[in-house]
Amino acid sequence: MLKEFGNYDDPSSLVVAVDKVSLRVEEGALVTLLGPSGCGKTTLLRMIAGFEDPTGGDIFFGERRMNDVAPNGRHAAMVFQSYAIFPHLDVFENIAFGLRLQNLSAAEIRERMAKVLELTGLAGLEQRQPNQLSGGQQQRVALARAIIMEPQLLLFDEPLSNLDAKLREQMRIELRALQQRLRITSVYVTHDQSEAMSISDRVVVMRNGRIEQEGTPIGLYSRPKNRFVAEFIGKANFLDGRVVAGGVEIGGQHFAVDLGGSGLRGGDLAECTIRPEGIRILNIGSVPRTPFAGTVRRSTFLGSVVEYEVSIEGLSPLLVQAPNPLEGMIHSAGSNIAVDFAPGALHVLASSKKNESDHLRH
Amino acid sequence: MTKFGTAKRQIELLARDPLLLFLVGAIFLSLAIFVAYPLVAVLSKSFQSEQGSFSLENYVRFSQFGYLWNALWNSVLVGVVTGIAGVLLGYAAAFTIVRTNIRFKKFLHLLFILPIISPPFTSALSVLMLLGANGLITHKLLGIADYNIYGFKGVMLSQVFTFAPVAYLTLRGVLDSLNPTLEDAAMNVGAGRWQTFRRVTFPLSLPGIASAFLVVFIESLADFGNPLVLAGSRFPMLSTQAYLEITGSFNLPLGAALAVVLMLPSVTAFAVQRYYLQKRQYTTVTGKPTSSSSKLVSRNTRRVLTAFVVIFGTFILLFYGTIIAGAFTTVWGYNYGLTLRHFIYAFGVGMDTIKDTLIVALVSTPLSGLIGMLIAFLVVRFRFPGKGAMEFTSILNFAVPGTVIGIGYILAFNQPPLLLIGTLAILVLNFVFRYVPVGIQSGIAVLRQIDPSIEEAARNLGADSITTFRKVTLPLIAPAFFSGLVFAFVRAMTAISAAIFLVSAQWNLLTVQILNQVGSGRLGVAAAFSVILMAIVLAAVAIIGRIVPGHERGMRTVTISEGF
Repeated sequence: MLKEFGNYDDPSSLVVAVDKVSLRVEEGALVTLLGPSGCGKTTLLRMIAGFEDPTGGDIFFGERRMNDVAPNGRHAAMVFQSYAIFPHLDVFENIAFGLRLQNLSAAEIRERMAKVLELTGLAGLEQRQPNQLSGGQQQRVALARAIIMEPQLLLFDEPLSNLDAKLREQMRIELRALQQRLRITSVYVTHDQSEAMSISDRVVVMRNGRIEQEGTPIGLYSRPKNRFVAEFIGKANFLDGRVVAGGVEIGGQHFAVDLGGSGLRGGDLAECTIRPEGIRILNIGSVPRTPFAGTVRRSTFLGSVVEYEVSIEGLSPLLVQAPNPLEGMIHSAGSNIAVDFAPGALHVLASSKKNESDHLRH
Repeated sequence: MTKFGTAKRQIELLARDPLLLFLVGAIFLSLAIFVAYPLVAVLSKSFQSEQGSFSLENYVRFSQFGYLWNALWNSVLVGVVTGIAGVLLGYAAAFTIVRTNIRFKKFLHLLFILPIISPPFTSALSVLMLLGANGLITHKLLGIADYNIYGFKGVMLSQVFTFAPVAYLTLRGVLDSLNPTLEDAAMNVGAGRWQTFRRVTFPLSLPGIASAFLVVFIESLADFGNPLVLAGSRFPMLSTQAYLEITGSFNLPLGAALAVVLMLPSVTAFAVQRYYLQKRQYTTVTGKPTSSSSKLVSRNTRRVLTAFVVIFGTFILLFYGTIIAGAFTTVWGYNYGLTLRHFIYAFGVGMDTIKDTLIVALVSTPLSGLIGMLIAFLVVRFRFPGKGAMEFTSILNFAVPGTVIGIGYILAFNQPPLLLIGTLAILVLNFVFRYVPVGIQSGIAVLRQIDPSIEEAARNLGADSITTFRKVTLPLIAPAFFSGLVFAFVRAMTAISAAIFLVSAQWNLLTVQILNQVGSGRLGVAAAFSVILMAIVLAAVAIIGRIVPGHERGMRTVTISEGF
């Protein structure tokens, strides 16, 4: 799908918001579009809802092509970032807005309302005016207004971004539970990677209008395709390695890595990544194999983990996270320690292939 | 603490800064003398007999004379009809500009607000030239002999044209602040375009519509120039009748009583607007700017709206084209040959008037802007007893028709120690206090947006309150200040209703001069004066616009506050 903004008489003014994106959402799944602001995720969502028209490409719901269907005919209910609660209607009328348009009987509206109010925890607030609601309650009204339509597709435009951190975590658990219970196919837009990980069946990482990688949360986290994805989803260390038989060599040490499908051959440069929690801290001399020896540069206590910045000769500084810290057991800055990579934690980026040509030219 | 105790404590706090205490006192005093006292003078005069003793005879006469009742009825009727027509036109125009992607938006916007910055009776002049007994359309094109445009239809036509732009500006502000995401949300749950408009857009703009109606109603009621030119003798209207009682029959008490009657519907409408409607406005502004949805308007609706806007714009161009053409036409209606003699006459005879007008406007404008900003600053940032009264009194003058204020000034300042009649001072003071509300409204709006912590930060870094105002607050409110100035200047240049009572042989104004020329049938000279006046106003707006970047927006927020 393609979306360009600007004046077609003046091609230089065109901004490509969504650039030849192709995406398939399985029935009943929740797919998250994740990316920094300006990556085109919201534009993509608005095209699905029908608020923007694609410059090129098609949108299908099932077998039906939706390009020429007006927004009000798409049955793709949306939860807006600003909630878009109608300020002139109370909670009940806000939620019932779409049902009233279908001229449903009062009895049926009441019945569906009761169900939705219970699902969203809004029972008892029906007569409130929008300005009497807290942010979380407004969020629930926006959600209730969407799901009461029993839509074939549910769209979320950064729905939790206006809530405070605690409420945000609670709401995303509720959203996920609700979505799984109702089995509504959903597309969810966010720039918050932890939100994307915790809520989705599949995550689509976008940048500059293109899809960088698509996969399950754990798949993306443990096998990012490139540096951008690795850094956008969590923290990552990057290391330059060289392909050897059965793995890679980094800083003179061999590590077993699955290179299947990467197309790398012996002697190629390999860009490797490892998560901070994939690096273990050892006491010097306590292991049979020689680990990396290093010095703690910085040590930050974060509650459930301690984060260290460790400098190792011949390598760029490493970020290391050690779980379950105990008082008196934290290494202070300046301490000498040894680190090792947990088996399977090291991952070779697919984008290493690009290095191949550079490597040959040298 | 008792109420009195609180007041005492507040004064003590204020007294820690003697300059502040002095300012508050000075403003109270001047508002009492130049706003409240003239109104009280009108009120007390209306209860006097012609001999000066207390009596109800003016009001008794009002209820007895049919033509006075008619005047009230006619004024209210014209006000209501103009209000409805103005709101319909204004809403359609505002909706088209805000919710469609038609081209030349900026040009259309400027065209729509042109009537706001011209003297309020230029359209009356155009109506006369196009549709009068010797009008271009009625006489020349249609061949109707002695067509009578005077009366209801003439005043109505002229006023709708004059005040629809006011409704347009108010409603544009309303529609601009209405989040289009709400329309998206309605369509998203199945509402069609018309349903979305009827159930979301329209109800949300309803308070704004009511507000725009009342503003136009107030302006129409207070209008003086259009009725004077077009009402005619068989269609009496209140504002002109009050003027005629005073300048024609020299019956001050009856004129005052008419002024009081005129004031009642205006002030009622103002009170409803300010204390009821404004609280009901839906502001749906959120942090994230959303692209305006063009899905609300179908292709056909867009065509209809575009056609409407083009027709509306064409009428405005026609009206102004007529004035300009009239200024260069030998004798309108008889000899359509080109001439410059109206301008030669205007610059010859009228040079002094042009100078007077400029002096009055240039002196009163900055004063009014400064006082307005100062009152806004005091009201928003400090607590003192009588704060509400200060705000109310200073804004009152916008609701009171100019005719009433004019009568109040001649009653209040005709004897020592405040003998001001016939001086420059009375004109300047009148304009200053009449247009102070503009500065106050825009100042309050801007100051409320400025986080007090910015000023606190300055204090925290060692600035005293005066330095803080000078170095931090003033620069932040400067755009609003200057746009307030533009508005006050435009108004000072084009005002007529109060000024017509206050001009003298030494100090005359262009607007009065134009009306006199129309009265004596010299339409060409009147048109030439109008062109000169509009040229000066446009030049001033352009110059200030050049100096102060971003005043465009300010101008809009300021003009919206008109009538409040």
